[in-house]
Amino acid sequence: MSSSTAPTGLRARRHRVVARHAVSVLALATALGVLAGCGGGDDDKKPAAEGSEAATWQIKITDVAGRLPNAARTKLADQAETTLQAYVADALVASPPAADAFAAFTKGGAKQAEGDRALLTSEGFTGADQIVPTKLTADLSVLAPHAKPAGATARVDIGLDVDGKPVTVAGKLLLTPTAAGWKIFGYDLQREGVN
Amino acid sequence: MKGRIFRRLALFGVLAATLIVVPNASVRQFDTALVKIDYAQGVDHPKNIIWVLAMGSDARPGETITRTRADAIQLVGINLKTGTGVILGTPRDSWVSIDGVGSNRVNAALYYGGPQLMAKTVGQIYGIDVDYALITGFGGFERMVKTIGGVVVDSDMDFSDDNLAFRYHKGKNYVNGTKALNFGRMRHYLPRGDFDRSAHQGELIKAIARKVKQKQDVPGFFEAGMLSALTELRTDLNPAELYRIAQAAITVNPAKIKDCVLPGGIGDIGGASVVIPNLTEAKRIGNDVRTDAKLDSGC
Repeated sequence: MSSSTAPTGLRARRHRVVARHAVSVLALATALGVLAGCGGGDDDKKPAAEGSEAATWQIKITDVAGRLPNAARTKLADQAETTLQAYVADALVASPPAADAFAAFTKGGAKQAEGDRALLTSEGFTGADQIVPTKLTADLSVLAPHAKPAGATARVDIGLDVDGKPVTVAGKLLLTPTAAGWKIFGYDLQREGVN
Repeated sequence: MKGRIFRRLALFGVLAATLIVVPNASVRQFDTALVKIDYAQGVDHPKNIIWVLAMGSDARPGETITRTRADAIQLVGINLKTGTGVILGTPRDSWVSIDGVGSNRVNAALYYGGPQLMAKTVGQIYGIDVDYALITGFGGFERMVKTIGGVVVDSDMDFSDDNLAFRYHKGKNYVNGTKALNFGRMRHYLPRGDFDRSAHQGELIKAIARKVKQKQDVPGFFEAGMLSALTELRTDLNPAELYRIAQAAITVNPAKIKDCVLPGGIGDIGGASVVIPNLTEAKRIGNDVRTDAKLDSGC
């Protein structure tokens, strides 16, 4: 069986939507730039990456469909943190990304993610010297039909300081329990950064 | 002379415009930034195309839904790579060959051999290998629709249900609970009977897909729907597998789902009215959609 790849049609449509928005934003920015263009003269001061303090994960279980005892909630939050941290450390903070950048993904999920490597790893931050996580939050919606978690959606908000420039990676990471712990089997992320 | 003045005025106009538009050379901090936004989406599933046989059982209280007759028979194809989908409706009274049984109404396959035989029988009509079969009863369907807050179906005609308890108007109708169920069950007041009913069942599936897509970003919505499905659906899959498959399925764009009802005519077998399906057309449709779950040539 072949591994599925990202739904390129959907992605292409989203890119078109983004492109349309980008044109509008560009026009607006041009107009605003014209209006603002009379002043200026300040030096371009960018905060040093060295000054940024690395964030730690704030994970909340916000919704449970079914029943999940407190001990199981704590355990799930810990396991989710391990998985999410592995992805962020290997793929987004390491520059260049680790060879096995998607070790936190299922096998099929990792294959799929390789196709979106430029968006899902620090490869997209060309030549970045230092990447520091400035915000790491995840809200978990959990399916727990028999007092046992069977899957979870992690709504993540990841802030990064990339050589002094802010970048955010936000959206959904889909988690599934496996024999090797919780793994990411799907993603729907958007990355924003000042180019 | 007049032309030269006009050209000078035009040149002055261009220079004036340039003076206004071109910013000064110093470096400025803008309050507004052009931010690049990139998206990435994907869900792990071993196949690009998934074929699911969705069935509604006519089981009455006390009956086992996997060993009754199927009232709704909809073969749903999903292309995870392109985001397209297709729904093939088979009228329940279609007279077909059932392995080990002989010729019978297609919905009898569920009674004789459970979901496996039903999936095999429907798959053979179109020449498509079914990956999953799911089945629900009347009450289960109503509760699942209620869990997601009802749906909006686009009816192709005005009609009422058999007891005239519910009326459906041509165009968009909000339906929930029993009204949603009856939209897909009624046939006596429909001009093409079983064919129109099957088309309405396909529309119900599309309406559910639209609702799920619309609400999927609401935290907990998807998981609550999955819990309801796990409660109401008969499935051999474990909850984690079902969760992964459903997450993959909702990557499909509802606007890119086309539906089709297997054409045929009305016949008489042993004094009973049945649907004689056009099996040549079924094979053509199967060939059209098998590898991409996209209906190119209509039906």
